[in-house]
Amino acid sequence: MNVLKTWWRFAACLCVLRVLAGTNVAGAQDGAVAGRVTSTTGDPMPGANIVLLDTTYGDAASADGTYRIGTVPVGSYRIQASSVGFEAKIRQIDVVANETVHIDFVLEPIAVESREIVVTTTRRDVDAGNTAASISVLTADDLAVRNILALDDALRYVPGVQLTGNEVNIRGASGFSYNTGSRVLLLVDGMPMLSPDAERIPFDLIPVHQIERVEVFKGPGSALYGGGALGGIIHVITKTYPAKPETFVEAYGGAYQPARHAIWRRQWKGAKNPRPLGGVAINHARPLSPNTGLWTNLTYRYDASHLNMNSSRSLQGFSKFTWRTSPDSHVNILAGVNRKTSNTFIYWNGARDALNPGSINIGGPSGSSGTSDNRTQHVSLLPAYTNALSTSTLLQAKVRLFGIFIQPLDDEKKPKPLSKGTIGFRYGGEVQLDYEGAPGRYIIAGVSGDANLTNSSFIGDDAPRSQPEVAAFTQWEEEIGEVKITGGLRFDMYRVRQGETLSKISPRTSATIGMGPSWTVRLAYGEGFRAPSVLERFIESSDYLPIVSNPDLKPETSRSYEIGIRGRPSFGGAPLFTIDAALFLSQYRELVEPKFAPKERSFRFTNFTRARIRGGELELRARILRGRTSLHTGYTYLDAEDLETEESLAFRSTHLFKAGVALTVGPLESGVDLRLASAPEKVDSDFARFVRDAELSSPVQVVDVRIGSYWRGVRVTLHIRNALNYHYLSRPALLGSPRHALLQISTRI
Amino acid sequence: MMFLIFWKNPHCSHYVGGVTSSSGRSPASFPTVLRRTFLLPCSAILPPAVLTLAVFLAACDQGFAPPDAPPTGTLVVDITYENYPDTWPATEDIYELLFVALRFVPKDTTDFLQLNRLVFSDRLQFHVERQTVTLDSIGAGLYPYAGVAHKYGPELFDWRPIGLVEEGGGVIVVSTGETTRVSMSADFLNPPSFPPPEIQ
Repeated sequence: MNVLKTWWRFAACLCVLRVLAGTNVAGAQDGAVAGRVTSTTGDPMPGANIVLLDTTYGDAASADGTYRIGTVPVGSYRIQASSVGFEAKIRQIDVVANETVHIDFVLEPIAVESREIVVTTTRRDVDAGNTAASISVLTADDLAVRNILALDDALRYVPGVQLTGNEVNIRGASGFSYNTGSRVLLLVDGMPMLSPDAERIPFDLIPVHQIERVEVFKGPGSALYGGGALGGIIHVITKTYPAKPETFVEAYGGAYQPARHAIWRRQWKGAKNPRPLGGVAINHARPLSPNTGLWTNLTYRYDASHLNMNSSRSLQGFSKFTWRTSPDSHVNILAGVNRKTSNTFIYWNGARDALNPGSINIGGPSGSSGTSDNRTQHVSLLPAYTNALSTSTLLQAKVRLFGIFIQPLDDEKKPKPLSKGTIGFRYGGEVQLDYEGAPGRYIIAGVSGDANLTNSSFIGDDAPRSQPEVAAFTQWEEEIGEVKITGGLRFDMYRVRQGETLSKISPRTSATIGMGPSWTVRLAYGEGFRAPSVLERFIESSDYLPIVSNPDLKPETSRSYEIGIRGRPSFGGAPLFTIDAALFLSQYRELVEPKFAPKERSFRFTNFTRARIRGGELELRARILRGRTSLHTGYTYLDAEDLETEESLAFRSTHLFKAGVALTVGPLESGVDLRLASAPEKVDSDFARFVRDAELSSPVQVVDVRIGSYWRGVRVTLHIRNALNYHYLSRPALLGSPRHALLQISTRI
Repeated sequence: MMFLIFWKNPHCSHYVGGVTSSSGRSPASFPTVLRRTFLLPCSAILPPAVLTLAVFLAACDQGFAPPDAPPTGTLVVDITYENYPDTWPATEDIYELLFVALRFVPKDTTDFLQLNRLVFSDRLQFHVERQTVTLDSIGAGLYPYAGVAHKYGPELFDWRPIGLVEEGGGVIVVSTGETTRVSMSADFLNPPSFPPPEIQ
C-alpha cells in the first residue's frame, strides 16, 4: 500500500505542476482559423475533423460544415480536413496575430474507407491498417445509423464478438459467467471501467451520442492494460466539443411484436399486445471560452421488454469538459450519473412458458424467483491531463472514480436500504509517458494504481472488501524498414487479503511486415490475466441458490498467438476494399465459473479447467459507388475445447457470421445487417439442475433493416430489428428479442 | 422490402425528380405522367418484388419454438403414517413435509437439487393418520425412487425420507393419460436408510 500511496502523491504533484506550468504559456498574440468543409456535391460535412498537424489544435465541423479554431499562436501550420469515407486534404497556412485565416475545404469521396486511427493496440494513435493486432472499429456514424441504444447493442455488429445474454464474448474467450467477472475489459478514454463489485461491464455508463468511436481489441491485452483484459478489450473514445454551439435532439419509439406462439400468449397476457419501448436524448455541446468547451447529455429510456417482469427505465446525465490549458496541453473531465430501475429477467419458467420468469423452491429460507427488481445508480468521474512536453515527449495523467449503488425493490417497488444491496467504489489513476526517441522508435512507460471497495449483502460479513493493485508497464516500438517490432511488459501486483499479495508479469510482442504498398502481415503473442472479482471470492448467499465464498481463487490466465494479414488490394489503380484474415490460438488456465460443490453442498466459484480456443477470422470492408454504399462482412470459426474433459467449452458457437450493407441514394439512407451464430455445442449442465429446459440452446439468425431520410436538418429513420422475427435464445433460459420496430427522429441545431 | 426494390430501380428514382415533362412537349396530365414514369417502368420489377416479398414472408417466424407438451399422467398416493399419533414430531420440528417422486435413485441429499428430475406435492397435512395425495399432469414414465420427504432442520439439506413406495419393487410407472394409484406407509421413528442400500 505504501507503494500505491507514493505513486499517487507523485502523480498528483506532477499533474498540478504541469497544469500550472501549462497555463502560464498561454497569453501570446494569437490568430484564428475558420472556414467551411463541404463535399464535392456542395453538401456541408458536419463532424469533419479539422486539425493543425503536429499541434493539439483542432475542431469538428458543425451542422452547416463551418469550423473555427481560435487562439492559435502566430506561425506556419499544416491544416488537415478529414472525414470517414473522404480523402483527407492538407493545406499550408500562416496565422497572423489578431486575424482570422479563412480556408475552405472540398472533400472528395474515396472508393475505400479512409485509414482508421486506433489507440488501443499500442496506447497511442496509430494507423489501424498497420497495427499488429486484430481490431475492429465502430464509428459514431455506425452507432447513429443503427439507432444504437447502449454499448452492448453496438457490439453485436462486430465480427468475432458474440453476446451471451449481456456478456461480451470475443473470439470465444468468455462463454457465460452468470454476470460476474467479465473476461473483456472496458476502457473509457484509456481508463479501465469495470464495476467494482462483480467486474461487470457497465454498458450504460457512457451515452452512445457521446461516443466518437469504439475499438474492439481481440486477444489478451493485459500487457497493455492489466487485469480483466483476458480475452479482449472494448475501448470507448469520447467526443470533444465543436467550435460552435450545437444541440442534438433525438427521440425514438416503437414496440415489440406480440408473441407468435399461442402457448406463450396463453401463459402471459402481456404477450398478446405490442410492448412499447422509447426514449429521448438531448445533447448540447459548446465552447465556453476560447480555451474551454463542454459536451453534455441527458437521456431517458423506457423498455417494456418482450418478457414479463423485465421492464426498465433509466435516466442518464453525462458531461465532458475540456480545457486547453496551453497550446500543448489540455485537461478533460468526464462526469456522469445514471439511474436505472429495472426488473431483470434471470431465467424462464421452461420452454413452454418462455416469457414468464421461473422459480426455484429447494426448501431454503425462501424460494427464489427468476427475476430481480433493483434500482441501480452509477456515478463516474474521469479527469485526464495531457501535455506535449516537447516535440518527442507526451505526458498523460488520468484519474478515475466509479461508484455503483444497487438497491433491491420491495413489493411496492420502493428501494430498500443500501445495506440490503450493494455499494462499491473503484478508484485509481495512472501516469504514462510517450517518448519518440527517433523516427519510428516509440517508448511508452507508465505506472497505475487502482483499488476498489465493495460492501454487499451478498458478501458474508459486514466488513467492506477491498482489492487494491498497482502496476508498472512499458512498451518499445521499433521500425526497421518495412518491419515494425513491438515488445511490451506489464507487472501487476494486487492484494488478495491482509498481508498477502499476488503478482503477475504479462509480456506481449508483435511484429508487422509491410508487403508492398497494400499488404501487411502481422505476428503477435500476448498473455493476459484476470484477478477474480470481490463477489466471486467473497459471495455468501442463499437468496437464490446456496453459494459460498472461495477466497483462495486464483487468477485466470491466458496466452494467445496470432498470425494475420491485412490488405487494401488495388484494382485499376484504386483500392476497392480492405480485407483482414487471422489465425489464432489461445490457451486459458484456471478459468473461474460457479460449480456445484457436493462437499460444501453449495455452489462456489471455482478454478475448474484448462481450455484451448483456436480458429480463424476473415473480415472484409468496402465502400463503393463513390462512398454511397458501404459493406462489411466477417466470419469467425472457433474450435473451443475444455482440455480436461476433452469436450467443447460451454456457450461457444463454432460459426459466427456478420454482414451489413448501407446504401445512400439522394436523401434516402438504408441498411441491412445480418448476424448468424451456430448453436453452442454445449451449455452448462449445473444450471439445468434447477431451471427447466436450461439445457436448450439455439442458433441465431437475425436480420435488422433500416430506411430513412435526412431532410432540412431532420433525420427520420424506421428500424425493423429482427425483421424475420427469428426466435432464438440469447443465453440458456432467456429468449432473445422478437421483431420490433422503432421510429427514430433526430435533429441537429 | 417492396420499397427497397422500387428505390433501387433507376426508373423509379427518376420519378422523384421527373414529374414534369421534357422541354419541347406539351405538359402531360398527371395520370399520364404517373403511368409513364412510375407504373409502366416499375411494373417490370413487380414480379421479382412479389417473389422477394414471398421469400421474405416465408423466412419469417422460424427458429426456436416451444416444444410439444410431454406425455403426462396422474399419480395418486395413499399414505399411512405408522403408530399415529405417537410417532409424529412436534409441529416446530417439521420444517417441510412433501411427497417426492424421483426419476433416479439418489446417492445423497444433494441429489435433491436436481429439481428438473423430480416431482413433488404441495405440503402434506400434519398430524394425520392417512392422507391421499394427487399429482396431476406429471411426466409419464418411470419413477424408481418415491416417498415422503421430511425436512427436519433449517439447513438446505436437512432432508430425510420417512417412508418409500415399495409396491412394484419401488418403481412407479406413470402411463400417458392414465391414473396410477399406489399405497405406502411412513414412520417418523423408523425411516428407511438413506442413501439407499444399493447405493451405499
